[in-house]
Amino acid sequence: MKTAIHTIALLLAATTGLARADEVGDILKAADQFRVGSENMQVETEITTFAKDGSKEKERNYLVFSQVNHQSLVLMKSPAEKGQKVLMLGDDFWMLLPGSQRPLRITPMQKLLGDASIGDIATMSWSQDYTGKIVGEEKCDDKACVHLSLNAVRKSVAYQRIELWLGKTRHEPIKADLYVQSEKLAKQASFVLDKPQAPTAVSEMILLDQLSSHKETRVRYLSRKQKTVPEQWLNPMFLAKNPSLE
Amino acid sequence: MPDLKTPALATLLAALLCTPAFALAEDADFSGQMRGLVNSYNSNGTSPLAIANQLAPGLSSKNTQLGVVETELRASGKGINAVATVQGQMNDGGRTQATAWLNELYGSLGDGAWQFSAGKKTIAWDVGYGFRPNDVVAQEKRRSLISTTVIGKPLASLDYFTANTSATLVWVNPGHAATTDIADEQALAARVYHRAGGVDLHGFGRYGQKSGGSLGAATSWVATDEMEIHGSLRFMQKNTGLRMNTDTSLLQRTSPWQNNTQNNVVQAMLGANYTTESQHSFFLEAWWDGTALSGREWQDWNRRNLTLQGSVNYLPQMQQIIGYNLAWQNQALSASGNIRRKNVFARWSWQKNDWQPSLDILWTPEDNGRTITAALGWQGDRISINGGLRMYGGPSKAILAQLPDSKTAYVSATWAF
Repeated sequence: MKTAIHTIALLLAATTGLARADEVGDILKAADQFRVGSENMQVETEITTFAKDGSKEKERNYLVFSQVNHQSLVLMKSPAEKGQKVLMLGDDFWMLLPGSQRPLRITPMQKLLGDASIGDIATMSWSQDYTGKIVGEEKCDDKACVHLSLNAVRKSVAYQRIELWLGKTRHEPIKADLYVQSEKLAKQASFVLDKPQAPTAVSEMILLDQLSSHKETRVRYLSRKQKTVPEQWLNPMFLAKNPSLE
Repeated sequence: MPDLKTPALATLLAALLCTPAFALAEDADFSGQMRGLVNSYNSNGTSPLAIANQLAPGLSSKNTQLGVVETELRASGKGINAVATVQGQMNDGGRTQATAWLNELYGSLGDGAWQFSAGKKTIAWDVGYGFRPNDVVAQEKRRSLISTTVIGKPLASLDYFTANTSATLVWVNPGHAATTDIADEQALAARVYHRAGGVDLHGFGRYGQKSGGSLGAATSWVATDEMEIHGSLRFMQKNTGLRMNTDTSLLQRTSPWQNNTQNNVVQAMLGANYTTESQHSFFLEAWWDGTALSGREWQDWNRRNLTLQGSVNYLPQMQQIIGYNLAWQNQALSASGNIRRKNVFARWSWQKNDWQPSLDILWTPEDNGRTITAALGWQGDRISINGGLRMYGGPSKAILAQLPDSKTAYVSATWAF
C-alpha cells in the first residue's frame, strides 16, 4: 500500500513537472514571437554601442537569416565589417572574412568575441535553446510580470543561464539577466516594445555590459520578414563563392 | 615625378567601376577602404647580402623607409564581382611609384545547386593559418604584417552544392599554353568538401601541365567549446624550385641557383586554436614543407658563404666577383614559401574592447632561428589602426638570422567606406 501511494505521488510529481515544462515552453514561444516572429525569418538589425559617458561609439548593421533547427546566417553590412559573414548551424560555427575567401571554423568561444556578440543577434530562439522553471510572479516597475530561470540545453549558446522577466498576460519580454558559462553576469538586457499598451513586437533590446567594458549596447530591429533561404546558403563553402546574398 | 607604371590599367579600373552593369544595377553594391602604411626596415649588417654589398658596393640598394597609400574598391551586382586596388608608394630615396591592378573580376551564373564562374578570381581552399599546402589554385602570402587582398588567377570553375557537401572543378590559367613558371602553369584542380557534424572534411586534387599530379586532404574539428584542431597533408609527384647546381667551383659566372625538379614531395601541417572566456586566444601550428631546402643543403649554403667570405683574404683581386657570388646566395631564401622544412608557429592575442595586442613567434627547430612579432591593433567605427615590430634572430648560422633585414616596424591606418 505504502509503495502504491509512493508510486502515485511520484507519477503526480512527474506529471506536474511535465506540465510545468510545457507551460514554460509555451511561455517562451510566446516571448519569441515578440522578438523574431516565425521560425524562418530575415531580420535587419542595427547595433549601437555607447561609451560610459553616453557618447556614441560604434554603429553596426546586420542582416540575420534565422532558420529552423538552430540555423542562422549573419551578414555584416557596416563599412568596417562589410563582406564578413557568420554561419551558425546548431553548435557549429564558421566565419568568412571578405579578403580570405575561405570560411574559417570558429569555436563557440570565438563567436563571443566583440562588444555585441554574434549570439546577441543570431541566437533568436529562447524556446529552442533553453528550458527552465517559473520562479514566480513579481512586479516589474508598475507591471505584473513572470520571472523565469532558464538554462541552456546546448553548451554553444552565448549565455548558459538567463533570468528572464516577461509580461504576465501577453508574455512580452521586459528584462533579462544573461550569465555566461562561468556563472558570471555578463549582460543585463531590457526590452523596448513597439506599442507599450498592446505590444506586438520588441523594437529594441538594450544591453548593459557587466563583465568588463560597462558599455551600453542598443540592438534595434529595423525590419522583420518571413524568408526561407535555399539549403545551399547554409553550406559554408557556398558563402565563399557568393559574396553578396540578399 | 610619379612613375605611373600602368596608366592603361588605372583607366580600365575607373571605367570598369563606372561600367553600366554596375552603375545602372539597382542591386549593385559598392564598398572599399583607403589605407596609409609606413614601413621602416633595419638592415642586417651580418647577412650575406650586406657583406656582398661591402665587397661590391652598389650591388643592392635597400631603402629603409617605405610609405604606401592605397585604395581598394569592391563592386558587385548582376552576377559580376570586381575588386581593384590603386596604390602609390614613396621611399626614403624620394622615388615615387603609382600602380593599379585588378584583384578580381569575374562573372557567375546559376543561383542554386550548380554554379559556373569565369574571370580573374581568388580561390582559397586549405584550413591552416601559417601554412596552407592545399591552396593549390593560388597561394596567398602567409604571415604578412598587414593583411592585403589577394590577387586572383584567371580561371573557369564549376561548383555543385548541397546542404552539407560541395564539389568544385577549376581550370586554372586556361590561356597559358606553356610556361616554365609553375605558379602560372595551366592546371585542373578539384576540391570535395563534406561537413560531418563538428568536422569539416576536404579532399583535393591537382594536375598541372608541368608539375604533374598532386593529392591532398585537410580537416578542421571543433573539439571543445574553446578548442579547434586542424590538419592538412599534400603529396606532390613533382615540384620545381631553386636548387644549387652541381658545379663545385667556388666562383661561378652566373647564379648557381637554378630551377630544379624534386620528385615525391610531402607537405604536412597540424594546428590548434584555443580561446578563453576572457577573450585570450592561443594558437599553435607546426608544419613540414618538403619543398624547402633540406638541412644538408642549408649546411652547404652556410659553408659556401663562409668559404666565399674567407676567399677574399687570398683572392683580393677577385673581391667584386666574390661579392656577386655572395649576393647570389640570397636567392636560396626564396627557393620555397618556407625557408626551413620544419616550422613551429605560436601566437597569443587578446581582444579587449576595441584593442587587440598580439605576440607571435615562428621557430625553425632545425637551426633554432626565430621571427618574433609584437603588434597592437585598434578598431573604431570605420577607422582601424595597427602597428608592430617584427624581429629576426637566432644563432649566427640560423637562416632567419641571416636575412637581409633584422627588424621591420610598421604602422597603418585604414578607413572603410
